[in-house]
Amino acid sequence: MKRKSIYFFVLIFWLLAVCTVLSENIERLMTARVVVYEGAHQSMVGQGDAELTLEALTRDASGNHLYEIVKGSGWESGNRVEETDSHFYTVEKECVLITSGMGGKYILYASKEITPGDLVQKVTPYKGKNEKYLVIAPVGTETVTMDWEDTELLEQKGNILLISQTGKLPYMEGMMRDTINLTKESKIYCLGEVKEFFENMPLLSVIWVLLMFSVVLWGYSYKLMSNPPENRVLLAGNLGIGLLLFWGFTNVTQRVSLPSSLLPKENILDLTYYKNVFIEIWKALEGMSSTAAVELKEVFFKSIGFAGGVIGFGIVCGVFILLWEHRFAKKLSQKNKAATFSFLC
Amino acid sequence: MKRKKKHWITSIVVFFLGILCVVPYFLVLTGGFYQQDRGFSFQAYYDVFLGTSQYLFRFWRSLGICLYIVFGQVLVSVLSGYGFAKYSFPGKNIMFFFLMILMILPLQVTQVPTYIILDKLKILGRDAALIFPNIFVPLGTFLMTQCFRTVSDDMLDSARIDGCGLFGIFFGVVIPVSKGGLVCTGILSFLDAWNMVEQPIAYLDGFEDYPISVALAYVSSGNWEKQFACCLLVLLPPLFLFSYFNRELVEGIVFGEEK
Repeated sequence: MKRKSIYFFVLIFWLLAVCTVLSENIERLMTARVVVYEGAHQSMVGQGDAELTLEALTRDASGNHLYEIVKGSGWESGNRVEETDSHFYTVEKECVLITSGMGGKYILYASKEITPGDLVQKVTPYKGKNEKYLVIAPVGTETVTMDWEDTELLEQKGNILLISQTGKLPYMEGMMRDTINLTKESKIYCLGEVKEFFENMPLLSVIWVLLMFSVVLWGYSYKLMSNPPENRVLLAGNLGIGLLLFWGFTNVTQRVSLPSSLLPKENILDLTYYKNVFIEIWKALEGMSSTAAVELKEVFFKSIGFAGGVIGFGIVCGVFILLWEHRFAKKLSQKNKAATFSFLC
Repeated sequence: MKRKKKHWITSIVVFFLGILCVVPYFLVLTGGFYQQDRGFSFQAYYDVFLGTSQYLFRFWRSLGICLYIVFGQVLVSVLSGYGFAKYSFPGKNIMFFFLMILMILPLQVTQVPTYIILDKLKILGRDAALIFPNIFVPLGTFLMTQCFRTVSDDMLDSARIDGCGLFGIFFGVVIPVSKGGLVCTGILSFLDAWNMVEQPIAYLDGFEDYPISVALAYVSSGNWEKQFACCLLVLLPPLFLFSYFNRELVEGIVFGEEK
């Protein structure tokens, strides 16, 4: 009973340690970067009302939402998103007019979808390098006017465009839409970020392999605990391997950098969201022959292959280590038996 | 026939009382999976265990504080308990009497003097402000004194005749036969430290410094499922201690017999 309880709780506390490392990194990845407009406090209402871009508004079934940043407290400390009272602004044809005169930090653009209570990081965009963007305009849009001199159209397939532009970093879909004058209904994906996401897949598979192997090692150690004095060396070895795996897991997890624009709103493990996003990108890229599209497809297949290879290699390594340990245990037991026999003789 | 009927009634009453005891734990385990707007969901557990590192960092920090307290309290209790149980010195009985009085004093009574002492020591607002006063809680000393009193003097004399020194007797004879009392003191001090609420509020600066026992109350009251998920996290260390040391805990509490 004691042995079972210690082994069960070792697994529980190991899982808690894993969750701690993961949560720290998930928080880092899921924190949305936002560009804000800082309104000054006005002495008279109506005096110099601020105009915000329509991109600052989030529309859903319940209507329009304008968000601002507030300082949170307690468990919700840090810069948090809060919805602005609808009495404090009016939605015009081409802008949002702030009428409160109370000042505030209104969120103009965000690197990912945000909801009230989310932790955000305020950033100032800067000019990045030339990047390729996949634009999916609403169905029925025949021509998209691009009155921006840096923009170059690489390929067009109906309402889908592949463009090249020196956009601002960090990438924010809303900011890009404003730059190339597109409506909120259109979707824009930065191919550089999609590529970065694919390139992280081998790292994610390493994390998966390390975690799975740790669990298998735990199971094997549980089996070894049926005879602790005889398997003392192996148990110590397994502990060492377990610690090494955890160290590796911590290091690899810190290296993962998934682009914020491709992450879900709430849960990073929301696989349905990823499925929908990548199916949309894949369908849009289908039939496109420009270098950027072909390159992205190649990176995808390479990353998938590499990730599969990592998993395969991990399984082979795991099986090899366990088999080697098993053989070592057998040899050790034979040696002990021989020593006991010679002692008795 | 009458006896059988009485037995049935007792069983039913005990059954319902048992259910009453189990219901809160059942609610903690299942409540985290039910969200008012989505039904069955892992979101609350995701929020607590993966969504942010705040909960788990605070959990490990609280665990660290508790381990310091347990180690310190067991050390102090063992040494002072052995002194009270096995040595004669002037004023021993009066000191033990004062120790017992201190033990029965409510925490709130000693809180202000402790606050003043911690302020003089310049450790207010730090983790040490929680660790330091809890190391000297008199319950541990009382338990260990009672436990060491049951170790027979003849056994110690035999060890002395066999050539054991002070440390030899203490670590080779007294500690092994008092394992139950030691574990009991450790567990009780851990539970006391793990569940402390008043001391952190009085001695620490604010939410950022609070251990998880206090910070739990700050989880938004509208988010029940998250509160349940947090409760599960807080439940784990005591659950482990009980499942691992249950036999020693019972043995430690029943240490009336002479060893």
